[in-house]
Amino acid sequence: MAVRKMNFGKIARISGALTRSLKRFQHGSEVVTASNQSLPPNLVLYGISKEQFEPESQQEEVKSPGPETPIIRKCNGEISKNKSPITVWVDSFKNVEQQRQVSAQLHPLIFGAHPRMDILHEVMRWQQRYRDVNYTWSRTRAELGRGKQKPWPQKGTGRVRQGSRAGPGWKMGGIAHGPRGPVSLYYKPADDVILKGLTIALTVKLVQDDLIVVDDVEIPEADTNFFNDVINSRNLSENSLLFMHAENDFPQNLSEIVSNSRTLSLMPASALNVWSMLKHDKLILPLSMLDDLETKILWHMNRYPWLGKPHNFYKDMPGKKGLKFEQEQYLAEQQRESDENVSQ
Amino acid sequence: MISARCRMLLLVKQHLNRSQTRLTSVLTSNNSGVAYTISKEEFKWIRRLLPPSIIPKPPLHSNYPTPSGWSPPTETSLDLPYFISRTRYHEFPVYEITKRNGQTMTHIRKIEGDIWAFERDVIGIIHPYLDFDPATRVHEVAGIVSVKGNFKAVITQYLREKGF
Repeated sequence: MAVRKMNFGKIARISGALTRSLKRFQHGSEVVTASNQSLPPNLVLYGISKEQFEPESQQEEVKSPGPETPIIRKCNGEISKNKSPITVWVDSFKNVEQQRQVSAQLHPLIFGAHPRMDILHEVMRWQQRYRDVNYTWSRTRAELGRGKQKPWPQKGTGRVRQGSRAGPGWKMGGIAHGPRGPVSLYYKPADDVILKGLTIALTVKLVQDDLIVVDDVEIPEADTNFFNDVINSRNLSENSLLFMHAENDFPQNLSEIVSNSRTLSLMPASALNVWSMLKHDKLILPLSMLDDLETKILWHMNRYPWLGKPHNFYKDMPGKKGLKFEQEQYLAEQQRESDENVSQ
Repeated sequence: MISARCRMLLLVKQHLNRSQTRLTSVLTSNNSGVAYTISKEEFKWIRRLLPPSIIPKPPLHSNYPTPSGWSPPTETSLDLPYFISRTRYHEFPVYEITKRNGQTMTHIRKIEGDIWAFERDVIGIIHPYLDFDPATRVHEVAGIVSVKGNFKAVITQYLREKGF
């Protein structure tokens, strides 16, 4: 059965019953791809997947790294007995062709988290809304700039006693309990929720084939043609890409290309966030960043609660910029103590 | 309301600040004429009070269960369709709550895998203690099973036997 491209604008003009019957007919049981074999048969699909549009241009099956492929990066953190590390291919931007020769291990708690969509949504919405300010402001009876005069004498007119024409009961008078000035709508969900959101977003990217692990995110030269060849050979020309780089490892050549592009972004590891991951199609992580990411996330998963909020961090918290001086002092002192103990 | 740990930390911070200012005054000049000594060895009495940041692993014991009744999870993997991981404090994720009307409930968190199979097993465990059908709730998204009544000890014993 040939599945033709449906013009949905045209369908909308047809009567409702016919539209509904056409949509049910589109869910063809004849075309079953590898991705939707596990779907229940009574599910009505209102959109057609790309494979169903063009069954000839089906991509060749990509094999995942087997036991023979050399693993160039292993997990540092502890893994519980019910979970095993996730192996992914490690690509290289030095070659135009996509490389599938070596693999890396990813921690299951970070890249194999339980996909809680509600937590992901909450963290995403927090990132959108925590900066909001409500600027509405209404004048009270004192701020109107008029109405100091008593409109009529206290007694004798037969009317209600009034002191000014600016009271809240008057038309065009002041507002008694209205919005008062800029109000910050800042809020913060629990630290655990934000952490879970990060892990879930990373998991979602990996599971949906949107995560690319690369040995080094820097390209050999700032040549747009070379970069376009690299991107096209990986079928990423129509995707927005989010490149991450390790903290002290700024890729100069890549930054020049990214600054000229609207669909490419480059961020340090500390800027990894749910909103950016969902906004961009693909996420590209270098190997140098994975160790840092793992230690930080696992540290936060296995720490005691904070002692008094909001700024009482533990001194050995990994990678907190503001605490760097204190951290160095603390670690230097510890080193001195251990040296003294050794010398004694 | 400052907690005891927070109060201790503030005292430690004050002590550290004071010791620093003493050091600077020695380097510059002694105006007040008060005799004092600086001792860096005394800091060990403060360092042992500083709270740890990472939850430590339990020490190895020769016999399990320990006198408190704790035992670690088994090394081998289990042959069950579900898995219940330990909390970060190495305890079972079984919690009992008492509502204001006196009713008790037991929650079992951190359930991965076939949660309905676990619910069936929980009903099997609880059945002998009840005259009526057990009232359970399964929260698939969060991986929680709730049971009406206080069965924390029974469920914890079951999880310990299975080796979670």
